[in-house]
Amino acid sequence: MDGGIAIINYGRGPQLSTSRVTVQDLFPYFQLGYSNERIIGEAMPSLSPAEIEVVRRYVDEHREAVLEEDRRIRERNATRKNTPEVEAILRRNHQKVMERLEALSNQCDEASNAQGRLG
Amino acid sequence: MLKGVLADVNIEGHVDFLMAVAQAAPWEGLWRELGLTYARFSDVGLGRRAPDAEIWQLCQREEWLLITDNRNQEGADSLEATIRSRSEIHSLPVLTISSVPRLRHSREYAERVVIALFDIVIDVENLRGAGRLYLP
Repeated sequence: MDGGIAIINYGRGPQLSTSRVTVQDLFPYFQLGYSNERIIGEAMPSLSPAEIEVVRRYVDEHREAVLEEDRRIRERNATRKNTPEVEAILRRNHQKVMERLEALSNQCDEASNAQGRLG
Repeated sequence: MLKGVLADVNIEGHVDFLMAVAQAAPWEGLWRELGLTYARFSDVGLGRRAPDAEIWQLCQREEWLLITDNRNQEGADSLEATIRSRSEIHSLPVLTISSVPRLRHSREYAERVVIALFDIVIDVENLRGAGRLYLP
């Protein structure tokens, strides 16, 4: 416990008592060598340096278990992907995106040309 | 009707960055046309300790697409368990970014994620009930 900040587990893995951010949410940034300020600036602006420090201490004290859980999560996530049915829908949707982008680009060109004629 | 995109607290800064990309050229016109909003938890009345079930329910009730990471255990109170037990045919999916820290290291990767997001939001109706969708 540090100023009321503790590590607890509600079944999502060890997490901050003051936020839903878990140890495993932060661990990749520790592995990448991010400072507390960089984590707050780029990833989790709602965290305080004190909260991140509590997680750093937890990782130092439970390094083997945290590394093992990180390995399990990476293995699990590597197998997760969209179903073929979803991928087929996304391909059809992508066609719609490209058509709308082209239509919007044409509208923009026409507006520019009209403005040029007026000018 | 889909209201917009909601960032989980474990990924807020990265979604801020993605939304800036999505709302700049060449996609800003499409973002405007779709009439979507980007929100953080504080914008929709969620606390930063909100449990997964509460977040999922709010997203379904108020029509937000949640964007999150997926590095948590999948116990009884997890988002994954909530999706499996509560998702119905009309439920909005939850979006998961596959490689979150890479977003800031590769503009090309960030743009692929933005395009994949547009591929979902342009017609989310035919993706209801899909549970979790994986962005690249």
